[in-house]
Amino acid sequence: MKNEKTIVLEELIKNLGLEDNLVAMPEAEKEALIVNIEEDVEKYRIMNYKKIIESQEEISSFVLTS
Amino acid sequence: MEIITTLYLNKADLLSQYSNVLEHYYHLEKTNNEYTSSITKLDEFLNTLDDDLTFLMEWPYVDKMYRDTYYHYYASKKHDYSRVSIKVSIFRDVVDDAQFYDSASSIFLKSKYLGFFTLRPTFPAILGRNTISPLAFGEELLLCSTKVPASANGIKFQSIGFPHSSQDGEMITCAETTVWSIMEYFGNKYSDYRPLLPSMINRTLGKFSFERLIPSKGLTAGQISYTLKDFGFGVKMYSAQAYGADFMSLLRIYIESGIPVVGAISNGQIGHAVNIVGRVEVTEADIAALPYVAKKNGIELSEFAGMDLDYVFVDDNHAPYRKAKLGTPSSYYGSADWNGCRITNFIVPLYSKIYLEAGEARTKSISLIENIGLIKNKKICIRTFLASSRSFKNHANFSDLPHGIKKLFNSLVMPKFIWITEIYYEGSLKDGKCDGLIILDATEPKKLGIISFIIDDLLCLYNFEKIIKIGAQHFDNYNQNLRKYEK
Repeated sequence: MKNEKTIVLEELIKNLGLEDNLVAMPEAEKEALIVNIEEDVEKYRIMNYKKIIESQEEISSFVLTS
Repeated sequence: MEIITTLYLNKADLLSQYSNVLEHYYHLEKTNNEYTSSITKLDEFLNTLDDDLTFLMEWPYVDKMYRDTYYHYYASKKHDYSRVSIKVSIFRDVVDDAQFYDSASSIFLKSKYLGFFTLRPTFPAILGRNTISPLAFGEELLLCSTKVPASANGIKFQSIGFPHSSQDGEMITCAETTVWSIMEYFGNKYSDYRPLLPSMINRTLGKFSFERLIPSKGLTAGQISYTLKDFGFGVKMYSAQAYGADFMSLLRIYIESGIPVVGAISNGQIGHAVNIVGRVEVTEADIAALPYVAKKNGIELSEFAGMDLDYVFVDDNHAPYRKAKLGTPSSYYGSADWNGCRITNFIVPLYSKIYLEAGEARTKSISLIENIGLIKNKKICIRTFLASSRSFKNHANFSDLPHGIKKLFNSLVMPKFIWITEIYYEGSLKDGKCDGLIILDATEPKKLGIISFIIDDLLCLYNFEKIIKIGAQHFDNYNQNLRKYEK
Protein backbone atom coordinates (compact mmCIF):
# COMPACT_ATOMS: atom_id res chain seq x y z
CA MET A 1 0.00 0.00 0.00
CA LYS A 2 1.40 3.39 -0.97
CA ASN A 3 1.74 6.01 1.71
CA GLU A 4 0.68 9.61 1.34
CA LYS A 5 4.21 10.89 0.69
CA THR A 6 4.65 8.49 -2.27
CA ILE A 7 1.41 9.61 -3.85
CA VAL A 8 2.38 13.28 -3.54
CA LEU A 9 5.85 12.60 -4.96
CA GLU A 10 4.36 10.61 -7.85
CA GLU A 11 1.98 13.45 -8.63
CA LEU A 12 4.83 15.95 -8.65
CA ILE A 13 6.89 13.73 -10.96
CA LYS A 14 3.85 13.42 -13.25
CA ASN A 15 3.22 17.18 -13.19
CA LEU A 16 6.86 17.80 -14.12
CA GLY A 17 6.50 15.47 -17.12
CA LEU A 18 9.11 13.08 -15.75
CA GLU A 19 6.82 10.08 -15.36
CA ASP A 20 8.16 8.36 -18.48
CA ASN A 21 11.70 8.74 -17.18
CA LEU A 22 11.10 6.68 -14.04
CA VAL A 23 13.51 3.77 -13.73
CA ALA A 24 12.46 0.60 -11.93
CA MET A 25 15.01 -0.95 -9.64
CA PRO A 26 14.31 -4.51 -8.46
CA GLU A 27 13.55 -4.61 -4.73
CA ALA A 28 16.27 -7.22 -4.12
CA GLU A 29 18.87 -5.01 -5.82
CA LYS A 30 17.70 -2.02 -3.80
CA GLU A 31 17.87 -3.98 -0.55
CA ALA A 32 21.36 -5.27 -1.31
CA LEU A 33 22.55 -1.75 -2.05
CA ILE A 34 21.13 -0.40 1.21
CA VAL A 35 22.66 -3.26 3.22
CA ASN A 36 26.09 -2.72 1.62
CA ILE A 37 26.13 1.01 2.32
CA GLU A 38 24.83 0.62 5.88
CA GLU A 39 27.47 -2.06 6.52
CA ASP A 40 30.27 0.20 5.23
CA VAL A 41 29.14 3.04 7.52
CA GLU A 42 28.75 0.67 10.46
CA LYS A 43 32.31 -0.64 9.91
CA TYR A 44 33.60 2.94 9.91
CA ARG A 45 31.59 3.71 13.03
CA ILE A 46 32.89 0.68 14.94
CA MET A 47 36.45 1.51 13.89
CA ASN A 48 35.94 5.00 15.33
CA TYR A 49 34.42 4.14 18.73
CA LYS A 50 37.91 3.78 20.21
CA LYS A 51 39.06 6.98 18.51
CA ILE A 52 36.16 8.95 19.98
CA ILE A 53 37.03 7.78 23.50
CA GLU A 54 40.75 8.41 22.94
CA SER A 55 40.02 11.91 21.62
CA GLN A 56 37.88 12.73 24.64
CA GLU A 57 40.50 11.47 27.07
CA GLU A 58 43.34 13.32 25.38
CA ILE A 59 41.46 16.57 24.91
CA SER A 60 40.15 16.64 28.47
CA SER A 61 43.61 17.16 29.90
CA PHE A 62 45.20 19.26 27.14
CA VAL A 63 46.05 22.66 28.67
CA LEU A 64 45.81 25.78 26.50
CA THR A 65 47.58 28.75 28.04
CA SER A 66 49.65 30.53 25.41
CA MET B 1 32.14 67.48 31.67
CA GLU B 2 33.91 65.10 29.32
CA ILE B 3 32.85 64.87 25.69
CA ILE B 4 33.69 62.36 22.96
CA THR B 5 36.76 63.29 20.96
CA THR B 6 36.57 62.26 17.31
CA LEU B 7 39.57 62.34 14.97
CA TYR B 8 40.04 61.29 11.34
CA LEU B 9 43.56 59.96 10.91
CA ASN B 10 45.82 58.08 8.56
CA LYS B 11 47.99 55.24 9.82
CA ALA B 12 50.97 57.35 10.93
CA ASP B 13 48.79 59.98 12.58
CA LEU B 14 46.82 57.32 14.44
CA LEU B 15 50.01 56.05 16.04
CA SER B 16 51.14 59.53 17.11
CA GLN B 17 47.66 60.44 18.35
CA TYR B 18 47.53 57.21 20.36
CA SER B 19 50.82 58.11 22.04
CA ASN B 20 49.29 61.50 22.96
CA VAL B 21 46.28 59.78 24.48
CA LEU B 22 48.49 57.41 26.45
CA GLU B 23 50.41 60.34 27.84
CA HIS B 24 47.65 62.88 28.47
CA TYR B 25 44.50 60.79 28.92
CA TYR B 26 45.78 57.59 30.54
CA HIS B 27 48.69 59.43 32.18
CA LEU B 28 51.39 56.94 31.24
CA GLU B 29 54.97 58.19 31.46
CA LYS B 30 56.80 58.11 28.13
CA THR B 31 59.60 56.19 29.81
CA ASN B 32 57.19 53.60 31.17
CA ASN B 33 57.59 50.16 29.62
CA GLU B 34 53.80 49.86 29.28
CA TYR B 35 53.82 53.04 27.18
CA THR B 36 56.53 51.92 24.74
CA SER B 37 55.24 48.35 24.50
CA SER B 38 51.71 49.57 23.79
CA ILE B 39 52.95 51.82 20.98
CA THR B 40 54.93 48.89 19.55
CA LYS B 41 51.86 46.62 19.73
CA LEU B 42 49.67 49.13 17.90
CA ASP B 43 52.39 49.76 15.33
CA GLU B 44 52.70 46.02 14.66
CA PHE B 45 48.93 45.71 14.29
CA LEU B 46 48.67 48.73 11.96
CA ASN B 47 51.42 47.30 9.78
CA THR B 48 49.16 44.36 8.96
CA LEU B 49 46.50 46.75 7.59
CA ASP B 50 46.39 48.41 4.16
CA ASP B 51 47.84 51.92 3.79
CA ASP B 52 44.91 53.63 2.05
CA LEU B 53 42.65 53.65 5.10
CA THR B 54 41.12 56.35 7.25
CA PHE B 55 40.92 55.64 10.96
CA LEU B 56 38.15 57.31 12.91
CA MET B 57 39.39 57.40 16.50
CA GLU B 58 36.84 58.03 19.25
CA TRP B 59 37.21 58.15 23.00
CA PRO B 60 36.07 57.72 25.71
CA TYR B 61 34.41 54.51 24.50
CA VAL B 62 32.55 51.99 26.66
CA ASP B 63 33.47 48.57 25.30
CA LYS B 64 31.18 45.86 26.66
CA MET B 65 33.85 43.18 26.62
CA TYR B 66 36.50 45.23 28.41
CA ARG B 67 33.96 46.64 30.90
CA ASP B 68 32.99 43.08 31.77
CA THR B 69 36.60 42.13 32.53
CA TYR B 70 37.07 45.45 34.32
CA TYR B 71 34.17 44.95 36.73
CA HIS B 72 34.90 41.25 37.30
CA TYR B 73 38.63 41.56 37.76
CA TYR B 74 40.57 44.77 37.12
CA ALA B 75 38.48 47.01 39.38
CA SER B 76 39.31 44.79 42.35
CA LYS B 77 43.08 45.21 41.95
CA LYS B 78 45.14 47.78 43.84
CA HIS B 79 46.63 49.11 40.61
CA ASP B 80 44.39 51.73 39.00
CA TYR B 81 42.90 50.70 35.66
CA SER B 82 40.85 53.06 33.54
CA ARG B 83 37.31 51.90 32.63
CA VAL B 84 37.59 53.66 29.32
CA SER B 85 38.55 52.22 25.94
CA ILE B 86 39.23 53.81 22.57
CA LYS B 87 37.28 52.83 19.48
CA VAL B 88 38.83 52.99 16.03
CA SER B 89 36.59 52.58 12.98
CA ILE B 90 38.19 51.79 9.64
CA PHE B 91 37.20 53.23 6.26
CA ARG B 92 38.69 52.68 2.82
CA ASP B 93 40.17 55.84 1.25
CA VAL B 94 39.34 59.20 2.77
CA VAL B 95 36.20 60.12 4.69
CA ASP B 96 35.51 63.38 6.47
CA ASP B 97 33.34 64.66 9.29
CA ALA B 98 30.83 66.48 7.06
CA GLN B 99 29.76 63.19 5.44
CA PHE B 100 28.56 61.91 8.82
CA TYR B 101 25.97 64.72 8.98
CA ASP B 102 24.74 64.36 5.42
CA SER B 103 22.11 61.66 4.77
CA ALA B 104 23.11 61.58 1.08
CA SER B 105 26.55 60.29 2.12
CA SER B 106 25.17 57.40 4.16
CA ILE B 107 25.46 54.80 1.37
CA PHE B 108 28.94 56.08 0.48
CA LEU B 109 30.12 55.74 4.09
CA LYS B 110 28.66 52.25 4.40
CA SER B 111 30.44 51.20 1.20
CA LYS B 112 33.75 52.40 2.66
CA TYR B 113 33.30 50.93 6.14
CA LEU B 114 35.62 48.01 6.93
CA GLY B 115 34.97 47.41 10.62
CA PHE B 116 36.33 48.52 13.96
CA PHE B 117 38.78 47.70 16.73
CA THR B 118 38.97 48.82 20.33
CA LEU B 119 42.06 49.71 22.32
CA ARG B 120 41.69 48.86 25.99
CA PRO B 121 43.81 50.19 28.86
CA THR B 122 45.33 46.79 29.73
CA PHE B 123 48.78 47.92 28.64
CA PRO B 124 50.51 46.51 26.66
CA ALA B 125 47.86 43.90 25.69
CA ILE B 126 45.80 46.70 24.14
CA LEU B 127 43.99 45.23 21.16
CA GLY B 128 40.45 44.57 22.36
CA ARG B 129 37.24 43.46 20.71
CA ASN B 130 37.31 43.87 16.94
CA THR B 131 35.51 42.76 13.82
CA ILE B 132 37.32 43.83 10.67
CA SER B 133 36.84 42.87 7.04
CA PRO B 134 39.76 40.86 5.63
CA LEU B 135 39.81 43.41 2.82
CA ALA B 136 41.29 45.94 5.28
CA PHE B 137 44.28 43.59 5.50
CA GLY B 138 44.41 43.31 1.70
CA GLU B 139 43.36 39.68 1.93
CA GLU B 140 41.08 37.88 -0.54
CA LEU B 141 39.73 34.94 1.44
CA LEU B 142 36.76 32.63 1.89
CA LEU B 143 35.58 32.97 5.46
CA CYS B 144 32.97 32.22 8.08
CA SER B 145 31.58 35.74 8.51
CA THR B 146 29.01 37.42 10.64
CA LYS B 147 27.57 40.92 10.89
CA VAL B 148 28.35 42.70 14.14
CA PRO B 149 26.39 45.89 14.87
CA ALA B 150 28.68 48.89 15.29
CA SER B 151 28.63 52.66 15.16
CA ALA B 152 31.09 55.37 14.22
CA ASN B 153 30.61 59.07 14.92
CA GLY B 154 26.95 58.47 15.67
CA ILE B 155 26.19 56.52 12.49
CA LYS B 156 25.17 52.86 12.65
CA PHE B 157 27.18 50.35 10.64
CA GLN B 158 27.48 46.61 10.35
CA SER B 159 30.95 45.23 10.60
CA ILE B 160 31.35 42.04 8.57
CA GLY B 161 34.09 39.56 9.40
CA PHE B 162 35.10 37.14 12.12
CA PRO B 163 35.18 38.52 15.70
CA HIS B 164 38.64 38.73 17.27
CA SER B 165 40.31 40.05 20.41
CA SER B 166 43.81 39.75 21.77
CA GLN B 167 44.22 38.09 25.14
CA ASP B 168 44.91 40.32 28.14
CA GLY B 169 46.87 37.51 29.80
CA GLU B 170 45.11 38.00 33.14
CA MET B 171 41.36 37.49 32.85
CA ILE B 172 41.32 36.10 29.32
CA THR B 173 43.92 33.87 27.67
CA CYS B 174 43.78 32.14 24.31
CA ALA B 175 41.22 29.60 25.51
CA GLU B 176 38.70 32.20 26.72
CA THR B 177 39.11 34.47 23.67
CA THR B 178 38.61 31.48 21.39
CA VAL B 179 35.31 30.63 23.09
CA TRP B 180 34.31 34.31 23.13
CA SER B 181 35.05 34.65 19.37
CA ILE B 182 33.01 31.55 18.55
CA MET B 183 30.02 32.72 20.61
CA GLU B 184 30.28 36.27 19.21
CA TYR B 185 30.22 34.74 15.73
CA PHE B 186 27.27 32.39 16.29
CA GLY B 187 25.39 34.79 18.59
CA ASN B 188 25.38 37.54 15.97
CA LYS B 189 24.60 35.15 13.12
CA TYR B 190 21.91 32.77 14.42
CA SER B 191 19.02 33.30 16.80
CA ASP B 192 19.71 29.90 18.46
CA TYR B 193 22.77 31.38 20.23
CA ARG B 194 23.75 34.57 22.01
CA PRO B 195 27.04 36.47 22.27
CA LEU B 196 28.90 36.01 25.56
CA LEU B 197 31.03 38.12 27.83
CA PRO B 198 34.18 36.72 29.49
CA SER B 199 32.60 36.61 32.96
CA MET B 200 29.82 34.39 31.59
CA ILE B 201 32.43 31.88 30.38
CA ASN B 202 33.96 31.88 33.87
CA ARG B 203 30.57 31.47 35.51
CA THR B 204 29.77 28.47 33.32
CA LEU B 205 33.09 26.77 34.00
CA GLY B 206 32.94 27.65 37.69
CA LYS B 207 30.13 25.13 38.08
CA PHE B 208 32.50 22.23 37.64
CA SER B 209 35.87 23.70 38.42
CA PHE B 210 37.64 22.81 41.69
CA GLU B 211 39.97 25.77 41.49
CA ARG B 212 39.46 29.48 40.86
CA LEU B 213 39.48 30.55 37.21
CA ILE B 214 40.62 34.18 37.67
CA PRO B 215 43.44 35.13 37.17
CA SER B 216 43.28 32.80 34.21
CA LYS B 217 45.89 30.10 33.80
CA GLY B 218 44.25 29.02 30.57
CA LEU B 219 41.73 26.23 30.11
CA THR B 220 41.94 22.63 29.04
CA ALA B 221 40.52 21.72 25.66
CA GLY B 222 37.95 19.72 27.61
CA GLN B 223 36.80 22.90 29.40
CA ILE B 224 36.42 24.70 26.05
CA SER B 225 34.32 21.80 24.83
CA TYR B 226 32.22 21.82 28.02
CA THR B 227 31.57 25.57 27.70
CA LEU B 228 30.47 25.29 24.09
CA LYS B 229 28.24 22.34 24.95
CA ASP B 230 26.70 24.30 27.81
CA PHE B 231 25.89 27.15 25.43
CA GLY B 232 23.87 24.86 23.17
CA PHE B 233 26.25 23.18 20.74
CA GLY B 234 26.46 19.49 19.93
CA VAL B 235 30.24 19.46 20.28
CA LYS B 236 32.49 16.93 18.50
CA MET B 237 36.16 16.51 19.40
CA TYR B 238 38.89 14.96 17.28
CA SER B 239 42.45 14.10 18.25
CA ALA B 240 45.28 13.77 15.71
CA GLN B 241 46.70 10.82 17.61
CA ALA B 242 43.43 8.88 17.49
CA TYR B 243 42.29 9.76 13.96
CA GLY B 244 45.70 9.62 12.25
CA ALA B 245 45.55 10.23 8.49
CA ASP B 246 41.84 11.09 8.61
CA PHE B 247 42.37 13.96 11.06
CA MET B 248 43.22 16.74 8.58
CA SER B 249 40.53 15.67 6.09
CA LEU B 250 37.86 15.81 8.79
CA LEU B 251 39.08 19.24 9.91
CA ARG B 252 38.89 20.52 6.32
CA ILE B 253 35.38 19.08 5.86
CA TYR B 254 34.13 21.04 8.87
CA ILE B 255 35.77 24.28 7.72
CA GLU B 256 34.29 23.71 4.25
CA SER B 257 30.94 23.43 6.06
CA GLY B 258 31.32 27.05 7.21
CA ILE B 259 31.81 26.07 10.84
CA PRO B 260 34.58 27.86 12.74
CA VAL B 261 36.65 25.17 14.44
CA VAL B 262 38.70 25.50 17.63
CA GLY B 263 42.18 24.14 16.96
CA ALA B 264 44.45 23.14 19.83
CA ILE B 265 48.09 23.48 18.81
CA SER B 266 51.20 22.30 20.60
CA ASN B 267 54.90 21.57 20.16
CA GLY B 268 55.28 19.92 23.53
CA GLN B 269 56.16 23.18 25.31
CA ILE B 270 53.35 25.40 24.09
CA GLY B 271 49.61 24.72 24.34
CA HIS B 272 47.55 27.24 22.38
CA ALA B 273 43.99 27.61 21.08
CA VAL B 274 43.03 29.26 17.79
CA ASN B 275 39.94 29.50 15.63
CA ILE B 276 40.25 28.18 12.08
CA VAL B 277 37.67 30.06 10.05
CA GLY B 278 38.26 29.77 6.33
CA ARG B 279 40.70 29.23 3.51
CA VAL B 280 42.19 30.74 0.40
CA GLU B 281 40.72 30.23 -3.07
CA VAL B 282 41.64 26.99 -4.83
CA THR B 283 44.04 27.26 -7.77
CA GLU B 284 44.51 24.96 -10.75
CA ALA B 285 47.86 23.91 -9.24
CA ASP B 286 46.07 22.81 -6.04
CA ILE B 287 43.66 20.71 -8.10
CA ALA B 288 46.50 19.21 -10.15
CA ALA B 289 48.32 18.21 -6.94
CA LEU B 290 45.36 16.20 -5.58
CA PRO B 291 46.25 12.60 -4.73
CA TYR B 292 43.96 9.85 -6.10
CA VAL B 293 43.00 6.53 -4.50
CA ALA B 294 41.78 3.50 -6.47
CA LYS B 295 38.19 2.46 -5.72
CA LYS B 296 35.71 -0.10 -7.10
CA ASN B 297 34.67 0.00 -10.79
CA GLY B 298 37.95 1.53 -11.89
CA ILE B 299 37.16 4.79 -10.10
CA GLU B 300 40.11 6.92 -9.06
CA LEU B 301 38.90 9.09 -6.22
CA SER B 302 40.35 12.26 -4.75
CA GLU B 303 38.89 14.47 -2.07
CA PHE B 304 38.66 18.24 -1.89
CA ALA B 305 39.52 17.77 1.79
CA GLY B 306 42.86 16.34 0.71
CA MET B 307 44.00 19.70 -0.70
CA ASP B 308 46.86 21.28 1.23
CA LEU B 309 45.56 24.85 1.04
CA ASP B 310 46.39 27.83 3.24
CA TYR B 311 43.77 28.09 5.97
CA VAL B 312 42.76 31.20 7.89
CA PHE B 313 43.53 31.43 11.60
CA VAL B 314 42.02 33.85 14.09
CA ASP B 315 44.69 33.88 16.78
CA ASP B 316 44.64 36.14 19.84
CA ASN B 317 48.43 36.61 19.71
CA HIS B 318 48.21 38.10 16.21
CA ALA B 319 46.05 40.29 14.00
CA PRO B 320 43.06 38.36 12.63
CA TYR B 321 43.15 36.29 9.42
CA ARG B 322 46.68 34.88 9.55
CA LYS B 323 47.25 32.25 6.86
CA ALA B 324 49.05 28.95 7.36
CA LYS B 325 48.97 25.38 6.18
CA LEU B 326 47.18 23.09 8.63
CA GLY B 327 50.40 21.08 8.96
CA THR B 328 52.39 24.13 10.13
CA PRO B 329 49.82 26.21 12.02
CA SER B 330 52.32 28.51 13.77
CA SER B 331 54.29 29.42 10.63
CA TYR B 332 53.19 33.08 10.92
CA TYR B 333 54.80 33.39 14.38
CA GLY B 334 58.38 33.57 13.14
CA SER B 335 59.66 32.68 16.59
CA ALA B 336 61.79 29.69 17.59
CA ASP B 337 59.59 29.03 20.62
CA TRP B 338 56.69 28.25 18.31
CA ASN B 339 58.61 26.03 15.89
CA GLY B 340 57.27 22.57 15.37
CA CYS B 341 53.72 23.32 16.51
CA ARG B 342 51.07 20.92 15.21
CA ILE B 343 47.30 20.84 15.48
CA THR B 344 46.87 18.08 18.02
CA ASN B 345 43.11 18.32 18.53
CA PHE B 346 40.14 20.23 17.22
CA ILE B 347 36.72 20.96 18.64
CA VAL B 348 33.70 21.49 16.38
CA PRO B 349 30.71 23.49 17.66
CA LEU B 350 27.97 21.71 15.73
CA TYR B 351 24.28 22.49 15.73
CA SER B 352 22.91 20.18 18.42
CA LYS B 353 20.72 18.16 16.05
CA ILE B 354 23.44 17.18 13.61
CA TYR B 355 23.83 13.53 14.56
CA LEU B 356 25.76 12.27 11.53
CA GLU B 357 29.43 13.28 11.81
CA ALA B 358 31.78 14.18 8.97
CA GLY B 359 33.59 10.86 8.64
CA GLU B 360 30.36 8.87 8.56
CA ALA B 361 28.80 11.20 5.99
CA ARG B 362 31.86 10.94 3.75
CA THR B 363 31.98 7.13 4.13
CA LYS B 364 28.28 6.87 3.25
CA SER B 365 28.75 8.95 0.08
CA ILE B 366 31.82 7.03 -1.07
CA SER B 367 30.08 3.73 -0.39
CA LEU B 368 27.07 4.85 -2.46
CA ILE B 369 29.28 5.92 -5.37
CA GLU B 370 31.11 2.59 -5.30
CA ASN B 371 28.12 0.30 -4.76
CA ILE B 372 25.66 1.82 -7.18
CA GLY B 373 28.16 1.30 -9.99
CA LEU B 374 27.03 4.15 -12.21
CA ILE B 375 30.46 5.75 -12.49
CA LYS B 376 33.09 3.53 -14.05
CA ASN B 377 36.74 3.99 -15.02
CA LYS B 378 36.76 7.69 -14.22
CA LYS B 379 38.84 10.08 -12.16
CA ILE B 380 36.53 11.90 -9.78
CA CYS B 381 36.91 14.38 -6.95
CA ILE B 382 34.38 14.66 -4.12
CA ARG B 383 33.69 17.62 -1.83
CA THR B 384 31.75 16.85 1.35
CA PHE B 385 30.28 19.55 3.59
CA LEU B 386 27.32 20.46 5.77
CA ALA B 387 24.75 22.95 4.59
CA SER B 388 21.46 24.21 5.92
CA SER B 389 18.65 22.82 3.80
CA ARG B 390 17.27 26.36 3.51
CA SER B 391 20.52 27.68 2.01
CA PHE B 392 20.83 24.64 -0.24
CA LYS B 393 17.31 25.06 -1.65
CA ASN B 394 17.94 28.77 -2.14
CA HIS B 395 21.16 27.94 -3.99
CA ALA B 396 19.50 25.21 -6.09
CA ASN B 397 16.59 27.48 -7.06
CA PHE B 398 18.97 30.05 -8.57
CA SER B 399 21.43 27.51 -10.01
CA ASP B 400 21.62 26.33 -13.61
CA LEU B 401 19.95 22.99 -12.80
CA PRO B 402 16.94 22.13 -15.04
CA HIS B 403 13.64 23.47 -13.73
CA GLY B 404 12.20 20.02 -12.98
CA ILE B 405 15.14 19.09 -10.73
CA LYS B 406 14.89 22.42 -8.91
CA LYS B 407 11.18 21.78 -8.29
CA LEU B 408 11.92 18.27 -7.02
CA PHE B 409 14.69 19.44 -4.65
CA ASN B 410 12.47 22.24 -3.41
CA SER B 411 9.66 19.79 -2.65
CA LEU B 412 11.78 17.34 -0.68
CA VAL B 413 11.33 17.23 3.08
CA MET B 414 14.74 17.89 4.60
CA PRO B 415 16.03 18.39 8.14
CA LYS B 416 17.53 21.76 9.11
CA PHE B 417 21.02 20.53 8.16
CA ILE B 418 22.06 18.18 5.39
CA TRP B 419 25.38 16.67 4.37
CA ILE B 420 26.21 17.22 0.73
CA THR B 421 28.83 15.42 -1.31
CA GLU B 422 29.46 16.99 -4.70
CA ILE B 423 30.99 14.80 -7.40
CA TYR B 424 33.35 16.40 -9.91
CA TYR B 425 34.63 14.76 -13.06
CA GLU B 426 38.10 15.70 -14.27
CA GLY B 427 38.26 19.39 -15.22
CA SER B 428 34.97 20.39 -13.54
CA LEU B 429 36.28 21.62 -10.20
CA LYS B 430 38.22 24.56 -11.61
CA ASP B 431 35.05 25.81 -13.34
CA GLY B 432 32.99 25.65 -10.14
CA LYS B 433 30.67 23.07 -11.72
CA CYS B 434 29.89 19.62 -10.41
CA ASP B 435 28.61 16.53 -12.21
CA GLY B 436 26.82 14.82 -9.36
CA LEU B 437 25.48 15.39 -5.89
CA ILE B 438 24.51 13.34 -2.84
CA ILE B 439 22.24 14.81 -0.17
CA LEU B 440 22.26 13.04 3.20
CA ASP B 441 20.06 13.50 6.24
CA ALA B 442 22.33 14.96 8.97
CA THR B 443 19.90 13.76 11.66
CA GLU B 444 20.25 10.11 10.61
CA PRO B 445 23.29 8.37 12.11
CA LYS B 446 22.06 4.77 11.88
CA LYS B 447 19.94 4.18 8.78
CA LEU B 448 20.66 4.97 5.14
CA GLY B 449 19.31 8.55 5.20
CA ILE B 450 19.78 9.41 1.52
CA ILE B 451 17.45 12.30 0.73
CA SER B 452 18.46 12.52 -2.91
CA PHE B 453 21.33 12.09 -5.30
CA ILE B 454 22.32 12.82 -8.86
CA ILE B 455 24.88 10.31 -10.07
CA ASP B 456 25.69 9.95 -13.75
CA ASP B 457 22.32 10.34 -15.53
CA LEU B 458 20.06 9.30 -12.64
CA LEU B 459 18.24 11.31 -10.00
CA CYS B 460 17.18 9.35 -6.95
CA LEU B 461 14.78 10.45 -4.22
CA TYR B 462 14.32 9.21 -0.64
CA ASN B 463 16.53 6.09 -0.33
CA PHE B 464 15.88 4.81 -3.90
CA GLU B 465 12.10 5.26 -3.56
CA LYS B 466 11.96 6.96 -6.96
CA ILE B 467 14.70 6.85 -9.57
CA ILE B 468 14.41 9.15 -12.59
CA LYS B 469 16.55 9.27 -15.71
CA ILE B 470 17.51 12.91 -16.18
CA GLY B 471 20.52 12.72 -18.48
CA ALA B 472 24.05 13.82 -17.59
CA GLN B 473 24.17 17.03 -15.59
CA HIS B 474 26.90 19.65 -15.15
CA PHE B 475 25.75 22.32 -12.72
CA ASP B 476 26.78 25.12 -10.33
CA ASN B 477 28.48 23.94 -7.15
CA TYR B 478 27.40 25.16 -3.71
CA ASN B 479 29.30 28.17 -2.41
CA GLN B 480 27.20 29.59 0.41
CA ASN B 481 29.16 28.31 3.43
CA LEU B 482 32.19 30.58 3.23
CA ARG B 483 31.79 34.22 2.27
CA LYS B 484 34.12 35.23 -0.52
CA TYR B 485 36.00 38.52 -0.02
CA GLU B 486 37.24 40.03 -3.26
CA LYS B 487 38.83 43.42 -3.84
